[in-house]
Amino acid sequence: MKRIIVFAAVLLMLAAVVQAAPLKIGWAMNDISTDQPVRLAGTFHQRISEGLRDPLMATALAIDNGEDCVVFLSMDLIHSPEYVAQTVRKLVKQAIPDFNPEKILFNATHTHTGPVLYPQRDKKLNAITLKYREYVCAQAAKSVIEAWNSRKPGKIAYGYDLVVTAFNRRIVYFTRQKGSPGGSPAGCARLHGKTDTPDFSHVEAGADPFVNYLFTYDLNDKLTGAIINVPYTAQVSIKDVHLSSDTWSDMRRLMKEKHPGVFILPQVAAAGEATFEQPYYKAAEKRRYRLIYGRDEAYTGEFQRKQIAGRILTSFDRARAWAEKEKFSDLPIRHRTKILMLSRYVPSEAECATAREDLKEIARRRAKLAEIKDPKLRRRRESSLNTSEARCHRVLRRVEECKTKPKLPMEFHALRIGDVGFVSEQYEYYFEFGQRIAARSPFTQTFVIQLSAITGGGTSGYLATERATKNGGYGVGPLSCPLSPQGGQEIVEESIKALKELKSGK
Amino acid sequence: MKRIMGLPLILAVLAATVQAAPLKIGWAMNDISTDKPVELGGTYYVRVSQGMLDPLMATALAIDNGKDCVVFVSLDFIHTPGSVVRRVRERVKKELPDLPPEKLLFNATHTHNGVHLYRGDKKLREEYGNYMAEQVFKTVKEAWQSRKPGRIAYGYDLVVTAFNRRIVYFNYRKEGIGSAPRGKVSLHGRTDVPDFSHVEGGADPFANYLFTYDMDDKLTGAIVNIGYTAQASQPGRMLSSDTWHDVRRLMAKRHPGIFVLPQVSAAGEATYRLPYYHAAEKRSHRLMYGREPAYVGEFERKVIAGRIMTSFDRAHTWAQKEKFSDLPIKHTIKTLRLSPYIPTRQAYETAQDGLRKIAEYRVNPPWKDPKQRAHNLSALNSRENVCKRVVRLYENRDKIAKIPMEFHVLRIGDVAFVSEQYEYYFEFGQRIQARSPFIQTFVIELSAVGGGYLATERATENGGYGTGYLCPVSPKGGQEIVEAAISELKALKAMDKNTNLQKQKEI
Repeated sequence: MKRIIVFAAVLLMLAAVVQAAPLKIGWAMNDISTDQPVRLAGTFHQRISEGLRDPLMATALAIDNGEDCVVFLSMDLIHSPEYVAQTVRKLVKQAIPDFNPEKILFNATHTHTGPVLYPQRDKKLNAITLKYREYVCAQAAKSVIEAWNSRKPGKIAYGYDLVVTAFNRRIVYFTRQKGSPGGSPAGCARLHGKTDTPDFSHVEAGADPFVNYLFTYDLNDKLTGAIINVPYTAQVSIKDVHLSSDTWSDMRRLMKEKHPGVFILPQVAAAGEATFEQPYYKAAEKRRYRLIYGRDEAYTGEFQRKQIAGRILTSFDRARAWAEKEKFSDLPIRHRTKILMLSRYVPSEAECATAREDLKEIARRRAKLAEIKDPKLRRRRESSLNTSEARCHRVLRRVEECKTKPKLPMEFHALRIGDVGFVSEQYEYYFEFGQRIAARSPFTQTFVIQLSAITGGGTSGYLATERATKNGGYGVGPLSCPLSPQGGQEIVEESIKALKELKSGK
Repeated sequence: MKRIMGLPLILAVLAATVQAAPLKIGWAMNDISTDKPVELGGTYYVRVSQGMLDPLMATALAIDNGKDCVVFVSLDFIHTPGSVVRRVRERVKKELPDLPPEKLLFNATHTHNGVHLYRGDKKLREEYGNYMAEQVFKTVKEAWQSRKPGRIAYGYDLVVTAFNRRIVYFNYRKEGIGSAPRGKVSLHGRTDVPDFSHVEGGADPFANYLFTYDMDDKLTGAIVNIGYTAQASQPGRMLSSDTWHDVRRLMAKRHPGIFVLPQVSAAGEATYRLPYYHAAEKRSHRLMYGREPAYVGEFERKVIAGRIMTSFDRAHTWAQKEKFSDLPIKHTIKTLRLSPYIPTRQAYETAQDGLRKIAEYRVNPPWKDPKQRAHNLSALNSRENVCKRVVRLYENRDKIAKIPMEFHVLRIGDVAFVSEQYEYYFEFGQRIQARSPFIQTFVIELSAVGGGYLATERATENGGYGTGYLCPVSPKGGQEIVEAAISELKALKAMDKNTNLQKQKEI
């Protein structure tokens, strides 16, 4: 009997072993821009695109070892809409019937000058949006299909570097700050708050300086591309009214100059409270740009974008210099996908009372809109109020919803490629959650990918920590967070569990 | 009567102006190392120097415009020793009559492989103290006497040099005897555990640079002011200036002949250590160097120095486009009186308990491994001193006086400098920089005389090493420095307005 048990155990172990096998790697990139007037995502008020600043891209990287595979798909969008993810998967399945579309791991770069891709109230705008959305899906699917079909034997290397790309945008004060109706709960924190006041206490937390790189090569050791996983959301040009991939456009341009023909696939690590804006030293920054460029900006955020892209490129080359000394042509791959059920943020009675008060205030402000003579400004204010109002209603609705549906589904990927782990989640995940995963992961490096495919009819939104929630301000609480801090920690625990299983060969 | 009242007012306004005037700049650097077996500063346990890994230096930069001046003095030392400062100033007073001794603005780089001036063999310490004072004076004298017309430029860059070493957990941590007040923080704590919540705060990525040039626009040196304490070789037992040696070496290759004057900005909780990714770091070092480190912290030091060098060049590229040969200088020196830290009842009881345990450990050391036993026993004196201090402070809590601190505020054109003597937490520095009316503000920690941590309110609440009773000054005292700095900086800046007023009157 003992022998039978041992034999069965050995068989189970063998079945569970993740075998290294030759890697095949494919890359593709396609344009997902439009010159049509679509709504730009990322602000409460409505911005309609007035043209194209630089192209939006969908970049795909297929890595396959015959045993398992992944296709990373990075899109220059604010998030990865569920409709897009579903349609891309359907199109890819149609084109490659033996490919499992679940293996597509989506992410968005969070550009705030990308399109809104959900239906619009305005009929004309809606027609343009829905037509354009199909184009985005087709082009993104094309990237996946081309990447998959162009797979060739290749190698990978991996490394990391430390570089300042972002700051923490949550400024904490000694005294309680007012909230804004439908925008931010009252508390000690304020988004992009002033720091040149006696009330300034500190920046809530640091920003994450770790940048993870996965480099790909052909069999002649020629660099073909890289995943750049950085806790930085490209939203410098947020005030612009032109479609743009923001800093990633600058990065691609620099890359083309320095490493022609090399693909880059941008991923945002946990960076829910990241910003390009310095918390202070504004005059010093202005002076710096005057001396570097000797002219005014050609468009909003031009100089910041260029500077950040420059720092990322320096970091890229610094990491590559040592990482490429160890290339791998045969590696185990194991890619698991599942739906997690995560704890929602259940609004408290006090938060509901605030939402009701906010709705009254919004109604008061709406009644005064007619006093604004400038039609452009009036539309801007009105669209902003619409967003705030919708947020308040969502909070109030959620109380009832949570009674029957206390958890929200989320598509979750855990992946290993050799000694590198990847986990994905769909929210704007606060730095600290990412740190918890990176610190506890059993892998040498762990790429946390935020803004992955949205699931279950939900939205993305922020996912704030306990300490941020206590501090209040924009980006925390039920107005901004579909999930509670506990839900955020559930992702951490699921990630660690999945990564440990992958590491142990399960 | 009105006329008489108006005259002193005008005179006061005139006196409060700052005029640009031609700059004279002088540099010097001298060795302050020793090959004697002195004790090394920076740890509770005893480390006796086993030789010199690389030299400790004293670097001085004199900037003078004929109306006011400063001599920055940077020492590769754990903090700025009061005895050395006093002796150097006395010599300056006697031998350099045109240099007011209070214009010397000292700082230490915080190397943990410098000399301990208050512990170890007394004779060796005295000998070294005399030698150090002599060398530092020599450096000041050479810098002052070598002043020549020159130019400056200034700039900043964003670079990762340090992390925050305070790891916060979901649950309370075990207290350390005389070392770690009760709380949820552990210094350099493990992060690969389910209890890990977050790193307490960020680290400061701003590196401030002040570049100097001769009249042919040749770079002659730079102040490098960063939120990084050079202590990567801390467990080692060799004298070393730590990362600054590597920076100097890189600098000598890249910009031969130029001086570097290191300053630590507010960085009380800084560390060179990554909070996680230890395996990834080890792998990066293996691939970079393909060998084991030749000494403790070799690779960390080199990597950080490399990043500082990249940042230096990046900032220099644009900053040098705007050089100044005539600038206003105004340098004020005051003594601030700061609110001390008063131990809580809980800290007092813990300290008493600690003293009992220390007494027991001395009689019956609980450590079986002889090496571990010797190491831990050697730290008991320091722990005991801390506990005794807590008991003394608590028992005299109604009589504790405010703590005096030498405080410098300086402007050179649109750049300002503020100094304080403690290991000042990042956030205090941020508050000063954010509220300063100057374009760039160099906060200098570990300035003249003494040291010790100066933690913020939130750090104190979180407890752990480097807060509470380990701080001579309270968080309130830390904020008093912020407010005094802002007040003084604004007064110095307001002199511009007065200057404009005066100019308008002249027109």
